[in-house]
Amino acid sequence: MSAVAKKACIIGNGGAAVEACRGLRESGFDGDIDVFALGSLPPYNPMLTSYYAAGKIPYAHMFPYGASDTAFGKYRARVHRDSPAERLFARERRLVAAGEEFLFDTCCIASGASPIVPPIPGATLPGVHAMRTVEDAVAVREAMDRKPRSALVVGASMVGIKLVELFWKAGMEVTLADLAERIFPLAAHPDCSRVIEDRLVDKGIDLRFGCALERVDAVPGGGLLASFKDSTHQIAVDIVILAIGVRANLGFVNRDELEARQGVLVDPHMQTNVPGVYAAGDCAQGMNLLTGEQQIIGLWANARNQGFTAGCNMAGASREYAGEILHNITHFMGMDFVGIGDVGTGNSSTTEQGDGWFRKVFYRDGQVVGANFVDSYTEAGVFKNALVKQALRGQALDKGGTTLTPLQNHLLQAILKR
Amino acid sequence: MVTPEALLRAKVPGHETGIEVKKSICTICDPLTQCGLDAYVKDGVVIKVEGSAENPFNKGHLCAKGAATRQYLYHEDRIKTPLRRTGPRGSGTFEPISWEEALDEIGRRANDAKRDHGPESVVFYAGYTKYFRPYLIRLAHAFGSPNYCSESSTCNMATAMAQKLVFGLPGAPDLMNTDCLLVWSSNPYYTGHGRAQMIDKKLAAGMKMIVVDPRRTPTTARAHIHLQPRPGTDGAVALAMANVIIAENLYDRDFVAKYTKGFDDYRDYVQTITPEKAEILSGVPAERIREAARMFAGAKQACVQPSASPVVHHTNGVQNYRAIFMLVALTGNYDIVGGNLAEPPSYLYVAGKFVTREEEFENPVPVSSMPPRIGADKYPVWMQVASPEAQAVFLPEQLRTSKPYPVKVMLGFGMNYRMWPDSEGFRQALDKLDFLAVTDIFMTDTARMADIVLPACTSLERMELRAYGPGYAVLSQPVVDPMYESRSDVDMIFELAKRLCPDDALFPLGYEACLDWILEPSGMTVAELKRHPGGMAVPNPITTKERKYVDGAKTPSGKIEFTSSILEKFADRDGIDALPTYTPPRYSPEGNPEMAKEYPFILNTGSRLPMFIHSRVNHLSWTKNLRPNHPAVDLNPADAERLGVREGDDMTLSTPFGSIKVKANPTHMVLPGVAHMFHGWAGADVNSLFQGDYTDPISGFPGYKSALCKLEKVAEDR
Amino acid sequence: MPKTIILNLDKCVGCGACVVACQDQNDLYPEQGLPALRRIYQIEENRADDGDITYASAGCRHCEDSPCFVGCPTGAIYRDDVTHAVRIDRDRCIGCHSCALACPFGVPRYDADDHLYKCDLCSDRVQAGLEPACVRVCPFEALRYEDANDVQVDKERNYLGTLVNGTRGARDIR
Repeated sequence: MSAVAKKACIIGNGGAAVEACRGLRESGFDGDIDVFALGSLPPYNPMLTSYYAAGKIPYAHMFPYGASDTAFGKYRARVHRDSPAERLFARERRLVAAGEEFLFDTCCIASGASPIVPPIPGATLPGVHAMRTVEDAVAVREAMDRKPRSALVVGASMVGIKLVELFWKAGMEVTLADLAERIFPLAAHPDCSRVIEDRLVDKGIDLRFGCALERVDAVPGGGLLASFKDSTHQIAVDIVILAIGVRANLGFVNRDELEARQGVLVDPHMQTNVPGVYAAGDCAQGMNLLTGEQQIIGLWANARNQGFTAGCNMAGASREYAGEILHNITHFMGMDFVGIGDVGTGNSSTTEQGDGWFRKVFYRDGQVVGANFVDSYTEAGVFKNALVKQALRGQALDKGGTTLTPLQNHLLQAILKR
Repeated sequence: MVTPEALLRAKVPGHETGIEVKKSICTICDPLTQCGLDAYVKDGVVIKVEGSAENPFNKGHLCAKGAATRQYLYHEDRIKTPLRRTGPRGSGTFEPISWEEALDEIGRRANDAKRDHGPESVVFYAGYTKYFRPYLIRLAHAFGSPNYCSESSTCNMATAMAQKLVFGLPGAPDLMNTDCLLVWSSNPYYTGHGRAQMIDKKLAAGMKMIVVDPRRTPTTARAHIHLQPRPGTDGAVALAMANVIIAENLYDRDFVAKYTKGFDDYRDYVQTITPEKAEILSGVPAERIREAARMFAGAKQACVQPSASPVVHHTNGVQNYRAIFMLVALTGNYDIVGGNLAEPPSYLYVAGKFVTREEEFENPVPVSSMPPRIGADKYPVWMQVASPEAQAVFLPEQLRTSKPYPVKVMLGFGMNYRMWPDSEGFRQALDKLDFLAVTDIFMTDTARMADIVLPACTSLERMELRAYGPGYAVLSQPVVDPMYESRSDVDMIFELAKRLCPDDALFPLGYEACLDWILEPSGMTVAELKRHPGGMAVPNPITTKERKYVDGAKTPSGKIEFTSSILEKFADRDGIDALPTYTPPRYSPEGNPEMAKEYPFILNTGSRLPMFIHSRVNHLSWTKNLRPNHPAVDLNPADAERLGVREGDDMTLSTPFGSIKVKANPTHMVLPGVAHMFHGWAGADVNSLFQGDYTDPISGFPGYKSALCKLEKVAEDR
Repeated sequence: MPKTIILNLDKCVGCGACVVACQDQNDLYPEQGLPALRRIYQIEENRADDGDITYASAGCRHCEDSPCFVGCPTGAIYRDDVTHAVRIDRDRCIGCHSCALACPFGVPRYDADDHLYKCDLCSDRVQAGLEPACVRVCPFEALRYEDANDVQVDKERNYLGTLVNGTRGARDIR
């Protein structure tokens, strides 16, 4: 930016928003920061909502930056509560929120994402829940107080499985359904899915894959009846959870001026195609280092790194965040699932399993591109970081070489050799 | 500010936490020199240990074993009361009895055997640990039995014998003053960190170091020259070094001419062992042997750092070691500052610059006045050269045959049958005893064989005297009361003395008075030592006297012997020769090519690992977790690949005499074609794969470090 | 610059005393599902031609830009104001294992309650004027507790690494 920015605007109030404020201040920004919050709650981590719903953490612990406004106050940012963005005029540097108009020098879109609610009959009935927001969590927890006996979780995703765990631990009958043919269809190879599915079946979970929810009906006298497409089978349950995915909150964006697909496209500075306007977090499409394509990678660390990078650059500093790779660790029902990188498109793989653990490493043209681990988390971080390094420097991992320190290579080879 | 709760959690000593630091020593490994131990004690319980900063040996540090002291002290397998066996031997079925009952029964059984079969029918055995030995030796001798014996029957005694055969008085390397250290199969970086630190310091100051070791170790990594012979071929390497030193005229002609015997025969013999020939025999490149010989002989002062047992655990062990020590003689480095100094030990094998009456205390009656010791016929050289103890390797044979006389009763202090060759045979032989009493800290497989088991305490629960090289002495004090009903071994010995030799002149005075008697020439007293619980500098340390051989070496000829007067007498026996002749290990590719066809690996057992010492801490989770795949055989990665095994895979390790199941541990520490297996594992006891008579005819030592074996992958079930 | 635990690779022999001292200090019993906070590595893949084997004692690196800190969804991982150690607030840890996937060195382990437990640089001992337990025990003085600002540190860093995530030039996120 040529002129020194005086007014910074942050759309959204999640982790990426807080980190953008920090980036601004730590890079010497001394002007005003205005944060336009979706609601009235402090920044929370959506991933924690299922933990609250499960009673594993107290309410206050859903807010990693503290349960008050100290998160933004620390960076002298003014928070406009209940002021969701209505219209962003990016080139004019103008924002309309809560019916009012704000002018800014620089802006960061960190508006996050919301769960997709399928347009089916009964999706908004009482007893049908999503799991993303604090409100969702509170609702499910209240529902649990009524001692439900059975649940249907739609969506074999990371969120879905945490809900399955919640209900299973409460001793309920649980059905997990998905349109996909298997669990974790994006993060797990079919072989790995099977290992997990076998364990879930052993634990008494009813799995229904390849079936689409058609409608949910309230049963007179209480309970819900879920019906599936192309099936006469119906399930009577007390709770239905819809965990079929999320969509970026970009209703206020004019896609004619701001380049966006699933999310707003950003460069390594987190800048959009409009100078001075940045995006970060679950609404931003940053770089997938492994594919070289822009993609939303909805992970807390990614959001924070992107937000911080955006904030630094908004303040006039020059900072890059090269990107991320897909990675996930989900710990549920006494097992650990890890998906790293590309688990689908490679052309060779190695599989090893032992007493209670499973490891599969994927290769494309002889180069490591991804892995699935079940109950073998100890070197997962080494593997993930090594893959990032490989992507950044373009060197193959299984050759050792200079991308890794000898200790990391030692740890990595233990996985690759086995 | 750290809260008092956090200080307590962090175990910070002081009045806020009530944690007191008390001084002890660690004897989990009992080499020669013991590490000082700071025990953090809270309400009578040790909650943490550290090394004592003031201790001259460990200077505040500990090894993995010592650091695990708390698990050792408080382990659930500790024996809690005296026990009397109620089931069959080995079954582990016992009933608790009182100390009086236990001691009375031991006394009665020993006295009965003495009455019926003579005092020599009672064996007094010392395994672990060492501090009580002077008292046990006196007990045996006052009782009238020549059969005190110890773990030294397979440990350091053969090394001492080799030195005595050459020099008369053994010499210890004067590390701090030497220019060149020749380390022969020792790895102090695993076994004696105090010594290793000194080596580090000397290396930084310019000392040259040659290390001979079949393994790659942290010691060899620091060496200027590493010679890596196949196990059991050390003699060939040493003789070839002598060949170079003589051929290149690098030896001390004056010393050789004036003070040695048999040089011409020796010279003629070593001329036949050229470096090229040694290369064929040992695998060490001839040029490396030449370099080592020149470095050693070229140094102003050079010395050999021996080890307790690695070189002598071969069927040719003493001869090999004689050849090695002769390098010291050849270069005139015997009994000089910076060479191998012959300083007499002060107490418990350690020269601490003070004089005691230990030897006098141990021998109230000369062993020479008693019947012959166990092993006298089979190992006559031992009887001439070793300390006055029996060669216990022969014990099973004597138990089985009652020849030359029956053995009826054995008192085993800290005894472990797994340390013997054909360990299972040794265990079965113990069953021939009329009566076996065992003392131990933990319930071991050996204790399960006993008729009476006595619970011993650890070093933290007792008082013991130790000498330290630089003129330092420690009389440790208990930091906690003995656990359960356990007692110190010394306490047991003094109690047994009341029953076995009530008329002894010193025992009735008690432990402290006996210590004062032993210490009398040193100028130290128990009272004074107690005032320094972490130890004290010795008052008026004795000064080093060099070249004592000038007035006559302590050998039969009065000279340093290239040809041994003692071995000459037994030269008609196989494997005994006055010259340090080299013969390959009995079971080796050269020694038994036929066996090597089916058993192609050279088996080397017992090479030290940093977290274990024999079997003493095999049961502690803190030490075990440092080597998760155990028991494991170390083998070269190339061999592992050939056999199709990876780390942790199951294998069988077999000799013609048995096989055990082990895990694979491929490592470049090991030469191709060699398998290293740690000993002492119940269920994978490698010593059970050796015959009881696979021994060195000079020392009786088992050939633990070179035999033949095969390794096979165990087929996977899944 | 705050002090930290630094390994002199030339001195380490992989004896494991540091591991046991850590277990003794922190009452960590593997049989209770609590493995040590440090581990010993015998590294042979990168052997130079002379066949040297490298031994390393490694625990939490207390990275300046800690991926575990950034990745922790709850804010349970924090930096000690005084000792600069990366520490864990057990009440906040939910056992999600995110830090296991974030750590480039395979450090995180979890206790029976599924809480992360890790090296805290013996912060309380240090503030009482003592050394970290692993440093105090090390027989070869290979482990030191000192300012991370000399030549040896570079060597250690190159071997063990400090921080290697996807960011470039990142600073602390706190």
